[in-house]
Amino acid sequence: MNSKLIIHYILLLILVLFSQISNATSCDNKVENNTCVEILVKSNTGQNLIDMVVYLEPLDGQVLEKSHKEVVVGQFGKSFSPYLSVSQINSAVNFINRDDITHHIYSAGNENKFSFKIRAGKTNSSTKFEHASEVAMGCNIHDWMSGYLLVVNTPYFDKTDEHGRASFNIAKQGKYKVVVWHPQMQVNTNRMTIEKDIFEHESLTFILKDEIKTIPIQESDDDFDFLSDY
Amino acid sequence: MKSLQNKIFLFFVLLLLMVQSIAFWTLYNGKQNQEAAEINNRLTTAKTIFTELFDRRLAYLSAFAETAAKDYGLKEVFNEDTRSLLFALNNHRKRIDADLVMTVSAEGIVNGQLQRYFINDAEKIRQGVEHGSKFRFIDWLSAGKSAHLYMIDDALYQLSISPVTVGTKTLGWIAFGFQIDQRLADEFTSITGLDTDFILRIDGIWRLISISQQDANHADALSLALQIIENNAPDQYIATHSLITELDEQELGVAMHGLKANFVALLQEQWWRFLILAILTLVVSLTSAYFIAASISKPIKRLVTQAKVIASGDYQQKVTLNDNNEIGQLADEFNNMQSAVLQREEAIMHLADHDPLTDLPNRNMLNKVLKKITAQQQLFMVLHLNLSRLKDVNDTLGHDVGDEVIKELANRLQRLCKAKNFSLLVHLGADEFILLAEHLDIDETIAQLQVELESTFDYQGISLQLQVRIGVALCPEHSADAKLVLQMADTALHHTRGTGKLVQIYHPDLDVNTVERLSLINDLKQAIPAGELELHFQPKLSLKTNVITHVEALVRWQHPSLGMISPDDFIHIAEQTGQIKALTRWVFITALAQFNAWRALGLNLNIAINIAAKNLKETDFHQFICQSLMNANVPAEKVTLEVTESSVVEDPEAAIKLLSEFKNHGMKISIDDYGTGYSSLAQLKQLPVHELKIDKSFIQRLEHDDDDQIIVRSTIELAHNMGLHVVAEGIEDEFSLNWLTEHGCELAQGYYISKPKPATELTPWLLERLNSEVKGKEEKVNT
Repeated sequence: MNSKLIIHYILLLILVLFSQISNATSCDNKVENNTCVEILVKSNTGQNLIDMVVYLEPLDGQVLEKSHKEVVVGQFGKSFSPYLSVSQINSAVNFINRDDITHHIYSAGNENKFSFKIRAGKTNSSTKFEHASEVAMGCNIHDWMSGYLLVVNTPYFDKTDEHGRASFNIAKQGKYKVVVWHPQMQVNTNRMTIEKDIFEHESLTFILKDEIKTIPIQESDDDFDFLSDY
Repeated sequence: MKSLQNKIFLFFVLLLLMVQSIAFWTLYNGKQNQEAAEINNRLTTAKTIFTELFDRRLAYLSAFAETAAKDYGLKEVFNEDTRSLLFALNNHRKRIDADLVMTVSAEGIVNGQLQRYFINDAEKIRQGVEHGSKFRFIDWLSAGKSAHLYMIDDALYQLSISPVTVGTKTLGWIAFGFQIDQRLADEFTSITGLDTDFILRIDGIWRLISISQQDANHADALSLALQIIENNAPDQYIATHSLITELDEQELGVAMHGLKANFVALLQEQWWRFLILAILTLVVSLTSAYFIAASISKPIKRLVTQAKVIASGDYQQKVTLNDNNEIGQLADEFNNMQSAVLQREEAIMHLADHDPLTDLPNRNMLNKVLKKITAQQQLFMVLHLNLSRLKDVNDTLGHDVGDEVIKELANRLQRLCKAKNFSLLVHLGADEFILLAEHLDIDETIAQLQVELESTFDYQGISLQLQVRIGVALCPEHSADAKLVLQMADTALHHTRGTGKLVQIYHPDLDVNTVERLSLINDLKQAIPAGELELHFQPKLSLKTNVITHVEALVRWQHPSLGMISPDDFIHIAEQTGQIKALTRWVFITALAQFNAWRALGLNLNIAINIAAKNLKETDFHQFICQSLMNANVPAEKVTLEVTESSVVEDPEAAIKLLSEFKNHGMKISIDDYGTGYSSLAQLKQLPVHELKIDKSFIQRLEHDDDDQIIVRSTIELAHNMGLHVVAEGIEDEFSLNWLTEHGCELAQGYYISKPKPATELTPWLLERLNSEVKGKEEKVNT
């Protein structure tokens, strides 16, 4: 009995897992009248690339609902975590300091430049990003920390999953600019763009021409003994 | 001069020169090496300093660029308005006093550039000319290398580029630069002392960037710098260089150089200083060496001088050295030796001047004193003393006693000498003494002597008479020459032996040993062979018959330079020098020849020939006489041999024997000079003689001297009583002739009758006498 039960559980678990996977590879929650756009990003060697920013920008003046995704730019372990964050213009971006030390987060050289100190464990959501742009962030205290916030003017943005996929339920069909962006992507402005009239379910695959650069490790070059006691 | 001092000095000189040479050579080499090392060191240092300086500037730039790139303020304004950016850049520039600051946007556009420049030493900042233009070296930006050489117009910068990032996002680049210009060159020159040129190669062409201010050689600076960079600098330069290559596109050449002369000047000065020091050292060393050598040789020189002093006979000076070393010891030994030599020499001198037996001065001392006295032209008397019969004492009592006698005599004479004013007593040796007296009264002196010697000397119970015979000579009465005076005293003493007198004062007649006589000795040898001798004959008159019956052969010497020499002068010499043998024999043979000559003329004369005492000792004399008679065929009874009384006295037995043989042979024997020889009548009795020849000393004054008459009369009587004939010689007047005739003298000889004459003169006289006799007889017969 027991063994049957155990086998049943196992089978059930496998089924759940499978269903999870299948979910991830398709539009999440299929909404009626919505068109599913699936995007696969592959490296030049054909490998699926994770955490590539993908967003679709409406080109036909489609009025879209504002995204309600909570955007978090976390600092943990004296590094930006996640490395990449994406947010829609004028959305709240939560800078959460999960470290036990103060960070001085800033960005410069673009329209969305900002700068503030954020104490340990605090969250700062005061900054408004009004311009769609790539916001390179650093910490004035921890020089090696490097993170990006991509501010886009569209609610359709995501990062590829571990299979290199991202999917969007497009509410309003029309022409879209499909962009794949990553700071380490070795093309001009670090992005690949496809303009596409989306009227039906689409599966788009981006294959990088060049090898994507390794994401710089956010670690101090120096071996600070004192940091552990900090 | 190879003196010890010079040798030592020379040794020192050589040693010092050698040491100095080695030192000098070593230092010279060292100096050369040092110079090369110094130059090399200096150049290496210069190059190192330059590299260090250059790199440091770069590191400084680089560090600052990195720091500035992280500046948030800068990042904030990086893409903002240019003025804000430039202000921010200038703030940074000022912090390190950079000459150039610039930013390049992410797109490669120079979006900010400030250049510093100088106008009249006043510093100005201006916006760079490249503002807004594209950065010329895009590839520098992505390359990891931050250091670059960057040229704007003519200005060359040392540039360091650093990216300005936000996280990993590159906002752009910021670069800081120091200009490579005269200021750098001067700074470098002030540190290294070397002129510094900067040249830059762009597109294969070298151009001059800047040179240090003091580099006078502006015109050729580029070519000189190029030569230096090619390691081909002219000889008068010391130079090094450094090359900084910028990606093959451009190359900065740094030429550092200086004139070798300027650089070496300091070393040269040191070198001169050393040379002067070396010379000074040498001079001081040599001076010291000289004094050391002198200090060593000085005492030796003093010893040498002292040795010379000693050699010259001066033993009084001592040499004193204040050294305790070997030389000092040598000096002490020297003094000891000197006194030892002095003592010995004094002993030797004493021995040389004194008689070992009596310790009285000897002949040496006498000579010295005489020399002195003669020099002072003093009057003095020499008494030559001879102790009589010393030989008898020696023979009978032994030489020890003889010596004692001599000592006793010496003591007494010494006493006398001390008491009276005798200036010197000399013991000539054996039994001979000399007394020098300044007191010239002979009689008084002799009397004193005799008083002193009067008492007998008792030796071990034997009583000995100290009888002394004395010869006296006076200076300057007899001679001014002291040596001659001495000889005269000797002669006088010698004479006493013949006469038996105790005191004899010198008179010239005593002296047979004259210089003239010495020359005669030699000449006499030549006289017989040279025919210088001739015979004279003196007739003897028979007083009974008044007829010349005898002649005496007398030898005469016709000396080639001295003329006629009397036999008295040379017979004695002949006797003493052994020439009497030849002389007598010549006389004998010549006389026999004359006998025969006269016999041929009818003159029958007995010839008397003088025989010397020495002749009687000749072993073959008898044989010669007999042989000669036989040869000449002369009857023995026609020859009379005249022998002096004294010649018989010397060895009576032998003489008697020989004379007896002559007598037996038929010859007549006559005693010559009778009355002078003190011959005893006992001897006379034994002598085999026929006649006595009374000495002329008794005959010459016969007329006036009664004593002589008595002697002659007695002698004649004595002779007659003994059966002897009497011959009187020296008849010089008629009285003597008549007196002798009256008293029965048989034969008479003398000037009154005839002088001795050569045969040639005498023969006519004899013939005349013979004829008158014959006439007289005829007249007698006729009457």
